[in-house]
Amino acid sequence: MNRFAEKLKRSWFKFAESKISIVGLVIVLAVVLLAVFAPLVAPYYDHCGAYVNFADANKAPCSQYLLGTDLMGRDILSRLIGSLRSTLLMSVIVLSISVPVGFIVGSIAGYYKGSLLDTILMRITDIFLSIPSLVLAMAIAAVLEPSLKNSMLAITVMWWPWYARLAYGIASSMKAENFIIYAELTGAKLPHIIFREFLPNCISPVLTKMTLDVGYVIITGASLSFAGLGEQAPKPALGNMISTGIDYLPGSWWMTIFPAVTIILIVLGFNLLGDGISNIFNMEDN
Amino acid sequence: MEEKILEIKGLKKYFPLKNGKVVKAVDGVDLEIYKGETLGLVGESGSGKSTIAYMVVGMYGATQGDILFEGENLTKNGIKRTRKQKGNIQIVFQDPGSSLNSRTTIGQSMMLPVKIHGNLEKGQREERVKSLLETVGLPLDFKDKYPRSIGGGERQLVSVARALATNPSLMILDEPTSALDVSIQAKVISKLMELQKEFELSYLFITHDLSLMRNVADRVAILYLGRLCEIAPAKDFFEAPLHPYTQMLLSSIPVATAEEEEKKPAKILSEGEIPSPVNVPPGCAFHLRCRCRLPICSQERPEMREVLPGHQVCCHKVFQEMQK
Amino acid sequence: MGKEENILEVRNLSVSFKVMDQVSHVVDGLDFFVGRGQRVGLVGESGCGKTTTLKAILNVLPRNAIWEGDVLFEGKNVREMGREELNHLRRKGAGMIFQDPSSALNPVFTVGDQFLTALRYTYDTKVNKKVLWQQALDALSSVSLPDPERIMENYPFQLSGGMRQRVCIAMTIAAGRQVLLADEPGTALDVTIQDQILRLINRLVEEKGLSVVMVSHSLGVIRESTSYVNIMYAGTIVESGVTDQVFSHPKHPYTKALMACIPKLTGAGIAEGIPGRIPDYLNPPAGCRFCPRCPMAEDICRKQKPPRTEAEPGHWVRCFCAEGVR
Repeated sequence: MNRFAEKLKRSWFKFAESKISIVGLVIVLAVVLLAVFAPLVAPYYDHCGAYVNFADANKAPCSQYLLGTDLMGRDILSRLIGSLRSTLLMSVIVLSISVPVGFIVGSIAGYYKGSLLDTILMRITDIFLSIPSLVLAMAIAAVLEPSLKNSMLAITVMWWPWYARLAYGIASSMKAENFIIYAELTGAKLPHIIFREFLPNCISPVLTKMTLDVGYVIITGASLSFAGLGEQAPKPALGNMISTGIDYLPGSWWMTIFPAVTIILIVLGFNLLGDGISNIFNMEDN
Repeated sequence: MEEKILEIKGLKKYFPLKNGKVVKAVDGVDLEIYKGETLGLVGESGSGKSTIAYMVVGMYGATQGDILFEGENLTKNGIKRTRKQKGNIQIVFQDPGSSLNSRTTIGQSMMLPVKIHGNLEKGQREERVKSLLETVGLPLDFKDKYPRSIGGGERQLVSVARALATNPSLMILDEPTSALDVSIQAKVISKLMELQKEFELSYLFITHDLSLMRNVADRVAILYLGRLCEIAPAKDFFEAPLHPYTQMLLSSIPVATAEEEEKKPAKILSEGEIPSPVNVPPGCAFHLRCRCRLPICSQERPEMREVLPGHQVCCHKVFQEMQK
Repeated sequence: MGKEENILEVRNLSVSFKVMDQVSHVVDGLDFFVGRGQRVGLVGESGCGKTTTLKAILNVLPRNAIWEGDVLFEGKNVREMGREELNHLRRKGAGMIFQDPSSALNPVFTVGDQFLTALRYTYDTKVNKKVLWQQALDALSSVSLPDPERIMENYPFQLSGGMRQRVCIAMTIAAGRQVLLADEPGTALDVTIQDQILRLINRLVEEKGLSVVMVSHSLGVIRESTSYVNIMYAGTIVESGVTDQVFSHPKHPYTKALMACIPKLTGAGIAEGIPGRIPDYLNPPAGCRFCPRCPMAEDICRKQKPPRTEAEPGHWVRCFCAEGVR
């Protein structure tokens, strides 16, 4: 327990060495807390649905509605807070599916580097990587019925190949290490090699990439929903809020600018956090 | 000492290159290891000593030749081996940095052979790991440590403990101490010698360090460009080396005491470098660097012959002298 | 030391490194001298601060290093040198060769390219390329490399380890440097090749009056290639003197224990090793750094650092208990 505390202290030291990663951590924590306690925090949580109040429609930011209201008279702040849940949920689900799939595909291909299996697996991966990812996701989402679920599916399909590449690189360079050779010579089976030998070595790069990716998944999700392929009205999503607001620029700027700033803040937060986490792992390696 | 545990017959390993040439890493080697003995295999880099070890342990298949373990042929199924065959021969690698997974604890690393070869219930495995650590003289709390938090010598001892988990009868030690400091090397070696007695192990000890070999090996075999030059009991080997290459090697060793300086062969200034195993010279592989080459050396490859009891050598010059 | 002029003097050098919120005291009060044309050895096990010492001599310590004491090169203090003088020191004064000759050369440039670049920097004015080329060829032949013209055209991977090390040595001496800092120059090579490299360095010392600081963990290498030796333990020089004298009559308990650990060609068996391990530099022992592992340690050893004492003429020991000290 003492060693764990010591390790935590060292990790924090390394993390906090760059003050900007603390900023990232604060943003991310704030976003997560807001998402979890959205019903309690949002001033008008009922505005996150089919609520209509034309009396207050299209109001500029004021003391009652801090970030203004949209065309239906719904509070933008509440809708932003309300959209965080689905936004974060999307990242979590997309990554929790694409990371294991990518890791398994990549590490199997890497372990059998040079074989036919490697060629097949990695060429499939390359095909996915060669199609611009947003176009691919849009195509998938357009073929299926537009919904939050299907946009997650679309993003997952385009996301796993990056992790396959990452795991492939690690596994193929590690397969010549003596501890892998020893495991083979002792009679270890493939699952042991993948989950007991490769996996612990993949955790730090994968975790770093995941933290950075949360931001990118959010951008991609917002792009899909901007194109009308994600979360459907009247539920709030960062993308569809921008796309409705964009017609009323520059007059009703608050409808577009605040969701856009929210996206930027979240992505920035996760990126800064990712840098801090990679600093911790770099220290461990030295 | 009489019973053979390992027999290598006419072993060859060729690696084809993309340009059609062939690297003759091991080119016809015959060796025996007897029960309980340490056979030292010495050679410079590129001599094929590690390739032989990797073939014995089953990492590479042989291009030609047989490896017999207690009379049983291991090479007939390529590199496929039964669990028992895998357990019988274990290896300790040179680089203590790469032989253990840096992201798993030492206990986890040791668990693998215990699980596969230990025939133990789940609850007993933990005990077995602990007793193995005890056997090599490491503290039990090492179980939960990561390799980077212990020293190089200790990591090598962990590798030894891990190898012992399968109850092997032959251990391949591939330069186990060449990455360590002498004071640490001394500890590891004395532990290895102790374990050899305790478990009646046979060692195939690979090294480039002749001074170390003098003190650990019962017999020594010298390898040059994938071929054996000389095999002899350690004492004869160092007191009366016959092959010119052996003499050159011995005389090149930097020694730390005046006493050794007197014992080692008169300085033979080494010339040239070991040629690439792609272009092995015809005849005797060493003749280009040899200071006593004869015309026959560039034409005919000498055979290994026993010239004195237990002392085999492969050199035309020696054969001629012996005939006189 | 003799009366000859010292080209390099290290006086009471201490180097510490800031590691997070702690300080690691690696080198602790080092003194040694290198005379012109002398071959001086620095022996010790890994982690004893050998390489740190070499870096301090060239003033290339990392930024988190804190150092005290002086390094005098030709009488000038390296620590007080300006940029110009430091460049002069590194380009023309002292050069370093490394254990691993393959990582010391850039794999994507030919030997010739790298050689010329290195040589060009040693001149303050622009020099004709042909002159430099000829200088490089001369240097390559002086390290007994056959066919220097071809080697200049080659990439490092086309050369063997021994040849690469010769190239590194040639590059170091070509600019007329007087001091060669050799950091384990033969360790990565086979014995026969190591022997050739050591012979080469010895020859250069005789022919060109080069001074050499030979750093190695191998007592054998040091005995055969130096005339004066400093034995290092945990950042201190525990014993120093004329090589033959130190090796035939070691006085410090560490030197004795180390000598016992070396496998002998005469086959005396293997010693048990030295108990314990090198101290934690974050929190080193207050007195003698070897005392936790020393069989002769007494109370005074734990409290006070032993002074540098002349145990017999020209043979210095840092120990309270060594023979000749008491």
